[in-house]
Amino acid sequence: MERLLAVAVNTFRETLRDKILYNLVLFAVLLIGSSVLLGTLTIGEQARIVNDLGLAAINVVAVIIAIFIGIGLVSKEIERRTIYTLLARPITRSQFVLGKYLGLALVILVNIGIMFAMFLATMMLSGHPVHASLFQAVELMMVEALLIMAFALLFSTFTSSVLSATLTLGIYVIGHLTSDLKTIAEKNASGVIKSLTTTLYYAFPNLETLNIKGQSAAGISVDLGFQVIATIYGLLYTGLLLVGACLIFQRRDF
Amino acid sequence: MTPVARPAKQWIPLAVLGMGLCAGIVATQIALDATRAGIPKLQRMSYLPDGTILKVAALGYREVVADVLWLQVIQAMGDKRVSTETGQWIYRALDVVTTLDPKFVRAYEAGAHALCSIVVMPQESNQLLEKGIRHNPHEWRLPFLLGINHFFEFGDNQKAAEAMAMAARIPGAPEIIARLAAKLLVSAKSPQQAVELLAKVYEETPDDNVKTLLEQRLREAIVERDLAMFEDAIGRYQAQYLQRPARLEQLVQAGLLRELPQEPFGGQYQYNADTGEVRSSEIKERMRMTFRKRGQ
Repeated sequence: MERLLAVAVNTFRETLRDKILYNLVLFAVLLIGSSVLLGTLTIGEQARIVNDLGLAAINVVAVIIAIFIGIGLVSKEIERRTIYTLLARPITRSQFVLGKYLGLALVILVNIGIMFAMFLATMMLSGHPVHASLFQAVELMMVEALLIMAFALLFSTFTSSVLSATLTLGIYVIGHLTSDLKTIAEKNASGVIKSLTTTLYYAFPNLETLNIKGQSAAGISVDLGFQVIATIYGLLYTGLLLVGACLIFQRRDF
Repeated sequence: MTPVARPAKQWIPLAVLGMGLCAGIVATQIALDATRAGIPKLQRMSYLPDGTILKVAALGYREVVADVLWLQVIQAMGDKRVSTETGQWIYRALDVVTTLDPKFVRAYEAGAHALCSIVVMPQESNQLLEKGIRHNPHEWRLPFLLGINHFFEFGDNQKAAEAMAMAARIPGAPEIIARLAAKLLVSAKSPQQAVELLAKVYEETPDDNVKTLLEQRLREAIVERDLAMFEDAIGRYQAQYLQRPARLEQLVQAGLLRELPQEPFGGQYQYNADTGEVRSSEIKERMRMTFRKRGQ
């Protein structure tokens, strides 16, 4: 456990040195600037526009960071040849993968946290009400980012960075469309297509369940039971991907 | 080690080239803007995909897409002159916005207003409101606007009354809507419905001042219902006996009315046998909606 944490802390420090936090400044300027600008354009509903834009911006930035720091996990160590010295140390390969993931997860959670704080500050400064539902939406965004990052990590254990990024982006798009797969399955009379689409529906992550932005921007809280189950779903899926990543990484030759 | 001698002013041709490219970019941009200036901005957006397709394509960012489109619609509404084509586009864009986000009440509301004020498209305005009512059954403002449209744009008292009555029954609707709906129902020759609606809203209102206002209107509606009943009975009496009754009691004797109703204000119903008219001793003016149609 200690070794795992050591890897995690080092990964966290290393990623911060990559200036990933600079995006936050950009985000803040974008958010505050756009909310002030767009507020002058709309008829009423300014709070809605600020809410929608703010949550969408947090989500997009979180997913981009998750993909781009997730894919660099193994490939960067290999490029710099630091993987040899690391694996020569008394840590198992699983500890290495999990430690790396934990470090990156911490980076992304801190990132989302700071972005959310900026968003809340904007809301308060412009005098809009802050609903509890916003916290729910951001919590599920964190779960989504963790899940996406686990995908990026899994792909990066066996392919190149570019391919991992493409595959992860593909998963993100598919993940938001799986609910339509279920609709197809329900409407289709053919048994083969039905079982195929149903299988695909359960195989791919259903990211749409982690997306409650629209509802929470309107100030409507989701049921706490749903929130808990959605979080557990996301974390279980993440766990599965990490197990897969560890298995592949153990068998990999350098 | 001495630094390698570079030819002096090597940067000048590059800088000139750079500046030339900058000028070229600005010039082509201006030329592009000029060629597109002839095409109205909205025409360029007429290739807007269907709402159901956009909904899928927007992945998890439906609300933001709806917001962006909504801002475009507002800009279009704000133009000095809004042509019929622009009106069509506004309706289509609003339809897409509300398909992306069916709970966007403000879009239905402002859109319905705009389609009846800056352009004359009441049919589309009503379609938008009906869609809004389907998705937001708890918003009284949408059926209220629908009622306004039916009344002012189509002169259809019955439909206006139905929509207003729907608005009046939604919790949170101001009581004035119930009174307005009652007036419309009476005008649409459905005074019994007016009485029922007012009685229901009266029951549900906790405010005593509002109750007093509603009670007044309820009694007026009862008078209207009774007068309508009298008119109907007198008409049937006349058809049966080929003359008007001399007194109202004859309607009961002829079996056309079960009994003579009580005047709710404590007065009485006065009958003029010469004209066949019945009126309440307490009410000077009948409940009616009056208005002028567009352009009159």
